[in-house]
Amino acid sequence: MARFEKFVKLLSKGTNWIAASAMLVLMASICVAVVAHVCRHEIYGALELGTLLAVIIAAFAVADAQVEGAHVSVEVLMQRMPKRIQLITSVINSLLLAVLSVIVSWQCIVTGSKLLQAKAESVALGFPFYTLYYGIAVGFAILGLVFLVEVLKLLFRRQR
Amino acid sequence: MSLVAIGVIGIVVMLLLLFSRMPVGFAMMLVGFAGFGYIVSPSAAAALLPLDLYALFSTYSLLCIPLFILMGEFAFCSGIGNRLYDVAHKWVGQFRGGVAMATVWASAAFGAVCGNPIATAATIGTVALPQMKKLNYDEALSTSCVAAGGTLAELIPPGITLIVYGIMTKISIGKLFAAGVFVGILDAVLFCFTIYALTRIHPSWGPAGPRTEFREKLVSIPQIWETVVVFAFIMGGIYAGWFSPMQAGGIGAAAILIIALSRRIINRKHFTAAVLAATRLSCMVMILLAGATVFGHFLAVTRIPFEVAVWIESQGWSPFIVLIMILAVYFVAGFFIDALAFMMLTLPIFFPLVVGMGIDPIWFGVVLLLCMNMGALTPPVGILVYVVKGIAPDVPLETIFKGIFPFLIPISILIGILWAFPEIVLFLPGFIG
Repeated sequence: MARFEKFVKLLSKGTNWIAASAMLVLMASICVAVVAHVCRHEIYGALELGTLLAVIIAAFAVADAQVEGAHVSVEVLMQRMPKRIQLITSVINSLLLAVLSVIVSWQCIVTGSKLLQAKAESVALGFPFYTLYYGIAVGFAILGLVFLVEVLKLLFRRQR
Repeated sequence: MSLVAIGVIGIVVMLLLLFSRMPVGFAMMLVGFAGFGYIVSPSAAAALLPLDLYALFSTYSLLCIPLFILMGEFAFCSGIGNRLYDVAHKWVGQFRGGVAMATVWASAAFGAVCGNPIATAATIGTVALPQMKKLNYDEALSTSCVAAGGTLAELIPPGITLIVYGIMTKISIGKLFAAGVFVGILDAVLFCFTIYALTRIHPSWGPAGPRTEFREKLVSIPQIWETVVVFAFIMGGIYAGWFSPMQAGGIGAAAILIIALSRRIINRKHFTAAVLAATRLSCMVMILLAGATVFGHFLAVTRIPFEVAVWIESQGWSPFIVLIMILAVYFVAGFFIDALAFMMLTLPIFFPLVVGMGIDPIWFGVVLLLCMNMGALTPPVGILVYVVKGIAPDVPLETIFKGIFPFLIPISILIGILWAFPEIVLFLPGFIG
């Protein structure tokens, strides 16, 4: 269990590094585009590159955000509940969200595969769309694993 | 079962999930997906998820969220907060309650390069609270002025909530930024009046700090140059058309990074922590927006927004009454639910109603933000109060909440002023094309 948890954490951290790199590239590309614009040169596809990088940031940071507790939740009621009820609701919630993550991941692969067959590409840069859908699929698959770890941790804690 | 009944059940289930501690963005996504699947078809709902997620993540206007968050994270670890506080302290610290007022102005200035109320309260609070403790300030006043000062970061551009509001309502983010400038300054002035009144009634709450020479005050001014330059560059650049509000975040983040690097304040550890924290925070906001989008599709097929609008119209209430009711809902909900999350949840219902009544959407956004700021300060959720508690662990939570209540009065007064004089909000946006 500890090994599995460590592995999932490593995956989520690793993907967040990809998101962080995308964010720095986004910052740099915008600076270059603005300087070029002021010098009356337009960089073709700069805008499109920004939107593609934003997809990478969101998709690859989603699991680590959950690991680090960055997603907003309402604590006010559950804090006042008995521990047993807190445990049961946490297990149910994590299970539901693991299923949702799997559905998102699976549907992103389905849509990505359709786009791969259609050879759909972005207008300016010719970037294949399917890679981004696959990226979202990877991010949500790891998120599903994070929720699974949460369930297992809660259940193991209960047994102990 | 009617569509409206399904919609109401969906809203109730979502509230249950929210209060069961499910992350808000995922709760909206889950209920939106299940509800849409029930009404239309499961396969349609499944197909909708990836399309909604991709469409949202790749929205051009959404670009400014990660970039302004990154800018705020860089500002957080660049030492700008300390310098701003030092200048404000030298100028107003010698008056009764002056250090608390300095805290408010330092928060307002830091908000202009940060946009994140939590980072603002944490940064300024870390510097200001020990100073106020040294001067024997009342704990309730010292901690609450830090928390109240944090809310200014939402109003003074680039506030993240205003950006999200702009994205959700398709209003120009540049105009929303311009709308927040005067309101933020006015809010800071009213906070200072509150501090003045409190220390006038209870002189022991805010003793005067050490007197500084006029020369000392003047010499301190260059310390704020980077804040002034970055803020003026961002707003000026948007106004002059050099870059869009979306690009402004990237420029601002790079500028603050260069300043921090040139001053040798930021090291590799700070840098990586800032970037990783920025991705997590950006992702949190994006997931909230994605959840709101999926949930919005579900609400649209239930026709609830339309039915609510028709029902309210049939009641014959004046726009004034309806607006009061909407703001009351936000105020009360702010006690229990994170304001940003609640805004994303309810905007699809309330916004068409407000626009339909002929209320200016920019004005509504700013007033809504003020209401949400009250929620960020009030128990039991009051996120900014918990941030201050984290910096001052020896101060009881009840003391901070007790100190907060006088600061709700200036926010309420400000809402009244904006109601009477909407030009305060709408004057500057009028200049942006």
